[in-house]
Amino acid sequence: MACRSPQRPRIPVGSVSNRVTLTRVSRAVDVFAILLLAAAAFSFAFGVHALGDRQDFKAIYLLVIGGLSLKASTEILRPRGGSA
Amino acid sequence: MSTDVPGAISIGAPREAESGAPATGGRGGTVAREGDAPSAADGPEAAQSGAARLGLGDGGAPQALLAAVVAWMITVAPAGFGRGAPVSASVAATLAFLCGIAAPLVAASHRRAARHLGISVFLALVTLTWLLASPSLQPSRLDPVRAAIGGIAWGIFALSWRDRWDVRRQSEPDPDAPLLQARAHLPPLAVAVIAFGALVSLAILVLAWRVRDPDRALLAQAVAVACAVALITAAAGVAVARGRRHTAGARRLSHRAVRQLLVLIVFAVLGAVVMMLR
Repeated sequence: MACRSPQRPRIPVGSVSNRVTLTRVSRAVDVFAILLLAAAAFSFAFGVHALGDRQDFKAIYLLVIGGLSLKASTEILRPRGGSA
Repeated sequence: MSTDVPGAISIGAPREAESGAPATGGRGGTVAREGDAPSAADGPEAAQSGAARLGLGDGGAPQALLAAVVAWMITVAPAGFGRGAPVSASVAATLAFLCGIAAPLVAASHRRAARHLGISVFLALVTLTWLLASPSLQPSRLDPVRAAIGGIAWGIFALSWRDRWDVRRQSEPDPDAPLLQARAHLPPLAVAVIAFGALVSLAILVLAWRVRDPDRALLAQAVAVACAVALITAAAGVAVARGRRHTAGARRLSHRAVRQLLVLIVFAVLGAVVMMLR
């Protein structure tokens, strides 16, 4: 029989205060995702600009940062498996 | 039920004509009654009935007629009637012109024949003209502006004959059926997020054209296209996925998200340090 990890205490969803807290957390996550998206967009733009200015290291750095930011922005909005 | 009955089917309104209603006053491209003089108060209906008297149907046929004439004038006539063009090319161009203007006129009464005449025969004769007058189509003799306008004209011509060959009858809407409601709405600012992603993607593509070095320019174009596609995709995902975390699990980020954030932070700090040391 597989050993299951101890379950974390679930938050009662029914109360009004918990709903308000969840909404605030959800909104903060949304804002963070948008900020990461904006960071990725500007990283890409400055990376291509640096590529034209013969600044190879800076270009690679910005492009990689943009890619990681883009990946993180979509990952944090993805629902947890089995918990939602 | 067969739909190939030659009858009152126009290019623009095949369904109404197909429904089998008496087509005396409809939009189906049939001839209007004699003596129905359009008054000023009739407005668009009067114009439509006037077009029906000419046998042009209700909007699709004039469009096809105009598109065929414009495309022929811009791209076929200079080749078929230019200097050095053989007589056979002129004859083919003339026949193509006749087919192009005749097909929309007979589309109201003979739909299938009109489509064969306006599409198949017209395009065959145009191609024959171009083949016979191929010296007129040398790239050195082509005007780019006229070629561009001709391309647009052919695109409009294709759209003017956009109806399906087989006209399917649509069922009448049930007046008692309830209105379908959307199961979800877009989260707020979704359009703004998408617009932001699209605008920055365009800016990245424009920035790539500023690279002067040929080798770097090619690389910059490839990188810019990849970045633009990734940005548009991610922006669409973020715009739609927001606001779905109102559950208990929303308090915690997934392990993959935490890992991505850690990698991002570590890489950003290390890269910044290395850049400062350089």
